[in-house]
Amino acid sequence: MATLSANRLTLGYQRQAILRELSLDLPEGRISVLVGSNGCGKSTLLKALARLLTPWQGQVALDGQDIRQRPTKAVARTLSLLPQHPVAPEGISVRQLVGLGRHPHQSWLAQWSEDDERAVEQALLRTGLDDLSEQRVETLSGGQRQRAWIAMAVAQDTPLMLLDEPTSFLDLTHQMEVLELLVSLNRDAGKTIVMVLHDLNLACRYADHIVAIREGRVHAQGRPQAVITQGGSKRYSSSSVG
Amino acid sequence: MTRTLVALTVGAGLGVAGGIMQTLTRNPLASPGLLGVNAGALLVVVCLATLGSGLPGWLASGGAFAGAALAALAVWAIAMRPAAPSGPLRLILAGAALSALFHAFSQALLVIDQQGLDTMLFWLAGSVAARPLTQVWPLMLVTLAVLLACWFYLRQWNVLAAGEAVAVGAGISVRRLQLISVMCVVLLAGAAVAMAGNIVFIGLIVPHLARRLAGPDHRHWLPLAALLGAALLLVADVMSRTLIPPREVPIGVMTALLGAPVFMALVRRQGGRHG
Repeated sequence: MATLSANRLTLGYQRQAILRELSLDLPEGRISVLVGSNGCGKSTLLKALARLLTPWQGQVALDGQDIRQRPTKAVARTLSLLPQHPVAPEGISVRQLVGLGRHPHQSWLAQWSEDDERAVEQALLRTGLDDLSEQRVETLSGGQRQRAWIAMAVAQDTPLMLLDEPTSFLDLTHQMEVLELLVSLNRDAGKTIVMVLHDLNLACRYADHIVAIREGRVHAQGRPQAVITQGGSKRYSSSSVG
Repeated sequence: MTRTLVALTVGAGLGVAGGIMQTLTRNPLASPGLLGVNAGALLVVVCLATLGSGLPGWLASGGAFAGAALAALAVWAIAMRPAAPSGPLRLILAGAALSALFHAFSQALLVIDQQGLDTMLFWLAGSVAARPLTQVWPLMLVTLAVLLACWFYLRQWNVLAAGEAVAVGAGISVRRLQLISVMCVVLLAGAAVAMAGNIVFIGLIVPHLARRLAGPDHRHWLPLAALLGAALLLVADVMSRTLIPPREVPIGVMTALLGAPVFMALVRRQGGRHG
C-alpha cells in the first residue's frame, strides 16, 4: 500500500507561481480526480505528484517520505505515471511498449525475468489487448492506443497510478471505455488512482473523491455530490469541452 | 591497414553517435553535427592553421577533438539550464545556432588569412588517408571504450525513446541519462572528426537503416548501426580510391554519393509517416 500527499506545495513556471502552498492527502485505494478550469494548476499538481516537476517550496510525500529523497527507480515500483499525449517510438509493438513498464523491476543482474513476462501478459489481458499484442502501436485506434499506454503502467505493477487527462482526444465511447478500465483496476486490483479529467460529468461519474483546484489551491474536495453542490459549481459546469 | 582501421572505427562511432542523437532528441533527422561537434572541431583547426603554418598532425587531431568537446559543452550549457522545462528542441536550436556561429568565425578567419584553406578543405571533405597509427590509436581507443560503455544504456534508451515524462515515470534518472548520452555522442563524434574530418552522412542515415532492419529495440539496432556504419565507410573508402585512379575522391563526398540515394529511397518508402 502507498499513500501520497502534498505538503504546502508551491511551484510554477519561470517566475509565475501556479500552485500556492497547496496541501492535499489522497485517499488510499480510491479513485481521485483533479478537476478545475484551464490554467488552474491541476495538471501542474499531477506533474509535481509524479516528480516531473521540482517544487519551489514544500514537498510531495510518498508513504510519508519526501519523494525527491527516494531513489527514482524505487519510487517507480510504487507509483506509475501516464503523461498527457504520450508518443510511442516508431515501429514499436504493443507488447514491446508494455514491456517498457517493467524497467523499474529490472537491473543489470536481473534482466528480463519470468515475473516480467507474467506481468506483461496480465497487463495485456486486463486491458483487452492480448489479441493485438504483436501489432504496431501506430496502427491502433486512439482508444486502443490509450489502453496500450495504460497497460504499460499496469505492467509496472504499482499500487499507485497517476494519469494526466487519460481521455483527451477520445470520443465519448472510448473515454468511457478507458475510465471503465481504470475503475476495474481500482475495484479488482485495489489500485489507488489519481487522475486529471477535463470533463466534469465524467469526473462525477467515475470518481470516489473529487479535488477541485482553483487558482493554485484546493477549492473543495470530497465525494462528487458534496463537492459539486457547493457554491463553486457554476464555475466548472462549462468545462466539459474535450 | 591503418586506413582500414580508421574507416572501421570512424564508421562505427558515427553510426552509433547518430543513433544516440536521434533517440536523445526524438528527432529522426538529428545527427551528431547538431551538437556543434563538427563546427567546433573545424574552427579550432582553422584557428591553429592560421596561427602557424605547417600544422603537425597530432596537434590538428587533438585540437579538433578539443574543439568538438568545447562546442558540445557550450551547446549543452545553453540548452539545459537547470530548473527550466528543457526539451530536445532547445538542444537542436542551440546546436544549429552555435554551429552557424562557429562556421562564420571559421570563414572569417579564412578570408583574413588563406593559410588555413588547404587544412579547411581537408576537414570539410573528410579523409581516412595516411595517418600513422601512432597518431590515431588514442582516438580509436576512445571510440572502442565508448562503444562498449553504450552497452550499459541500451535498455534505458529504449524507455527514453518513449518520451521524457514516460521515462521519469518508469524510474529513469532522465537528466543523468541525457548527460551520459551527450557525453557518448561528443566522444564518438569528436574522435571521428579528429581522425577523419567532416563525414556527415553516416550519422544520419545509418541509424535509419539499422532501425528499419532490426526494429525499434536499441539492443538490436544500435549494435547493427555500428556494423553498418563501419561497413559503409569501408566501402566508401575503397570506392573513393578505385573510382577514378590515380585520383582519390574525398571520402566525405563518397559517403554522400552512396548514402543520399539510399536515404531518399528510405524517405519515399516511409511516405511521411513521421509526425
